[in-house]
Amino acid sequence: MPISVKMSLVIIVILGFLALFGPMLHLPDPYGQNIANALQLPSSKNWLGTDQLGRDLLSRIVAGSRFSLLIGFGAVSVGLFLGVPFGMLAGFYGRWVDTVFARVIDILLSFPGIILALAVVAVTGPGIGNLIVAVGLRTLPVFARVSRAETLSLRQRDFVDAARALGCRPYEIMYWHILPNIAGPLMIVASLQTATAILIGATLSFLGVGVSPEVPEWGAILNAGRPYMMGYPHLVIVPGCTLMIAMMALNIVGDYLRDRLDPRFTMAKF
Amino acid sequence: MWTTLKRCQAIGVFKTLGLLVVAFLILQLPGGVMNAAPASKVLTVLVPAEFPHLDPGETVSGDQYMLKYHIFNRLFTFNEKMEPFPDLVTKESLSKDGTTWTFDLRAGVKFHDGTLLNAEAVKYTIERLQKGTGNQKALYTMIKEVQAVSETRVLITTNGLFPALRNNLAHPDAGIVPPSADQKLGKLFGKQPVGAGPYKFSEWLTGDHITVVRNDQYYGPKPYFEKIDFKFVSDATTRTLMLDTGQTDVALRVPPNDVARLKANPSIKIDQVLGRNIYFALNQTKPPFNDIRVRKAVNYAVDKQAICDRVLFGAAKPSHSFVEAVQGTIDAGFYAYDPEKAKSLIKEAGATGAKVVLVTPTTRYMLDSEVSQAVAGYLRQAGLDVEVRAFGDWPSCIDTVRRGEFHMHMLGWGGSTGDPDNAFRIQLHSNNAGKLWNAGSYRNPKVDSLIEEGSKEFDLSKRAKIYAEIQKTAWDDAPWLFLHRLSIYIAYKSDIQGTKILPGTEMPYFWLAQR
Repeated sequence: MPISVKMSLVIIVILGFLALFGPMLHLPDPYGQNIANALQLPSSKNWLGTDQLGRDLLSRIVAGSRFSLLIGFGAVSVGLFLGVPFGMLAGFYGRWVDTVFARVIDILLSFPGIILALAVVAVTGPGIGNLIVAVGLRTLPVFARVSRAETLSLRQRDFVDAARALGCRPYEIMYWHILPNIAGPLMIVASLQTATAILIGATLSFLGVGVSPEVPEWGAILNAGRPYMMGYPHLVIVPGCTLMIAMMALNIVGDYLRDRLDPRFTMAKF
Repeated sequence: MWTTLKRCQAIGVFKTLGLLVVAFLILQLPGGVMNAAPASKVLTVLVPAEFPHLDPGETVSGDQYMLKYHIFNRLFTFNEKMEPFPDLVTKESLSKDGTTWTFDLRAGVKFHDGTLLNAEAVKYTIERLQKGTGNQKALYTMIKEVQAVSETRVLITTNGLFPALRNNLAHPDAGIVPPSADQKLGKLFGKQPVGAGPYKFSEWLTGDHITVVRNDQYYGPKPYFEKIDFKFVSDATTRTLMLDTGQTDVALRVPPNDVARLKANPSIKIDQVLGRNIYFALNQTKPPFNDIRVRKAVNYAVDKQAICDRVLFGAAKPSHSFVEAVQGTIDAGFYAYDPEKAKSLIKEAGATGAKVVLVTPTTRYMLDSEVSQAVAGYLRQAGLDVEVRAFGDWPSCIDTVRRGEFHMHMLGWGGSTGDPDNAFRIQLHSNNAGKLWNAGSYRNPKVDSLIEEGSKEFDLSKRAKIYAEIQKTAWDDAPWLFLHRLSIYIAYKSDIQGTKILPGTEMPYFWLAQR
C-alpha cells in the first residue's frame, strides 16, 4: 500500500474519530461567543484563533467534522438506497423499464450537480436534513447508472441463468446473486462520491443556502470568514485547508480502492 | 528539428512578452491621459446592484432611487433634513378645508425629448402612479383628483386631510413623466427613461453600466460633470480595489472592514452616512414574547454597543428611536446592556429555556447574519433556546415572516419620504397587525389613535409632539428588540467635491459635485 494511501487512511480515521468523539475533547464551546475576544489570531489560548464572534476556530472545525462527514455519508447513503435499486431494476428488466429509467437518470444527470441541489434546497429550505437529501439526489443518478451498467452485463451470465432455472424470483436474483457482484464497483463510486458530497454540501453552505450560518459546517465557516479575508486570512485558510485535506484523503483512498477492486484496472496493472 | 522547435518556442515567448508589454502600456494609458488633462469632466460611480428598470412608479432598491433622482425631477425634493422642499413648484397654497392644494409650476421647463413639462404632464404622472402596480402606490391613494387648471397650475384634491402630500410627491417614484414619450415607449419606458432632471439618460448596457449625460436645458445650477458612468460592480472587494487603483471616482457601500485601509490612502476620502434602523420584530401572538417581561429582557440581554464596535467595525451606533430621518424623531430611550436583569426577567416570566425561532436574511443588510448570530448568542446566555433560520434570498425570508413562522425577525427601516406617518402606520398600527411590516402584531389603542391624530395634523411642531409621544409609548411596550442604526460608507477620490447625500435613502447625488 503506497504511503499516500496510508496517510490518507490515517487522516480519514482521525476525522472519523473527531466526528465521533470531538465533544469529549474538552475544547471551548464551538457556539460560545465572546465578542470582546473576536478576530484573534492563533495563540496558545485559541490554537487556530477566533472568528468574528469570538468563537474558537479549532473547536468549530472539530465540531464541523461531524456535520461534514454526516453530509458526506448521509448523502451517499441516500444515493445508494435510492439509486441502486433504481439502476438494478432498469438493468435487470431492460426494455421499456430500462428506457423509462434511463431517461429519468439522463434528466437528473443533465442538471449541473450544484444547480439540482440548489433547487432542492430552495424548495425544502435550509437545514442539515434537507441538505443531505439535496446532495443525495445529486449522487443518486451516479449510483443508478453504475448499478444499471453492471447489472446489464451480469444478467446474461450463467450463474444468473442457473438461479433463474432453480426457480429464484427476480428480486431474489437481484438481491442474492447480482448485488454482491456489483458491490465492489459501488464501493469505489461511494468512496469517491463521499468526497464530492462533502464538497457540494460545503458549497451550498458557502452560498448561504445550506445549513444555518451558526452551524460549524466547514463550508459555512469558510463563507462566514470571507468578509474578513483581507485582514484575518486564518478565517478562510483554516476551513479551506481542512476541506482540501479531507477531499484529498477521500479521493486518494477511492482511487486506491478502484485500482485494487476494479477488474479492468487490476488486469492492466499485472 | 529540435532547434527549430526551440526557436519557435523562443519566438512564442518573445511574442507573449511583447503582447504583455503592450497590454501593460494600454492599461496605463487612461490613467496617464487623466493625469495630463486638466480635470476629467466624466465621473465614474461604482454601483453594487443592478435593477430591472428605471420606471418611476416601481422601486426595488436605493441604487435605483439614485439614478431616478438624476434623470427625473419632481414637484418637491428633500433638503438634507428630509423635509420636502419645492423643486418644480414655485408657489403653493392650501384651501381652508385642508383638502385642495394649488401648485404653480415653473414655466418653460422642457423634458429631455423637447416636450413641455406642464400641468397636463403632472396630472398624467400622478394618474399613472395610481393606475400602476408599483410597490409605493399606497403613497398616492389619498389623492382624489388632479386637475390641470392652466399650463402651469395644478389642483390636487385629497380624500380627507393629508399633510404628507408634499413628502410623497418628493419621493423618487413621483418623478414627472412626459406623456407622449411614455405612451410611445410603453413598457420600454423604464429601459429608456425620459425626464426633465439634471442628467439625460444616454445608454444602458445590461450587466455593465448606465451612462447619463448633462442636460444643458436644466433650470437649476449647471452640473459640472458632462457625463456620469454608473458601473455595476457587485463584489464589494472589487469596488474597493478599483478605487484603490484609481479606476473609479466613487465607490458606493464599501465594506466597513476595508474602511481603515482606505482611510490610510491620502487620495481617497470616505463619507459615513447614517442609514436605516435595524431591529428584530418580536412576535407578540405567541409565547415567550407575548409577555412584556421577556420582550424587555431580550432588550437588556444584548450588548448593542459591542455589536456595533466589534461585529460591525463601528459602522453603526445603537438605536435610540424607532425610525430615523423622519420628522419627529426623538431619543425615545435606550435599554442598556444588563445580562443579570435580562436573566432574572426571563426567570420571573417562567420563560427560561423557551424555544425562539430567529429569522434573518443573510445578504440584505450589512453583515446581517453575523449580527443575528451575535444576538442569538446573547439570548442563549440569557436563558432562551434560540434557533437561527437564515435566508439567502429576501423573498423567501419575507414569505416566512408573512406566514408568521417566527418568534423574532430582522428588519431594517429607512424613511424614504421623510414622513413619519407611513413608517409608524405600517410598523405599529394595529390595523396592520399580522401583516407586513407589523407581522409581530403590536397593538396599543393609544398608539393607534395617536397615529390617526398625527396623520391629520398640519402644524409641524404639533406633529412632532404627537410622534414623540408615539415613540415614547411604544418604546416602553418593547415591541422590538432595538439594535442599531447602520452607517454606509461611500468612498471618493479626494478631488471630488460637493457630493450630497439624502439621509433617509442613504443615496448620494452628483449634480452639484465637481472635481
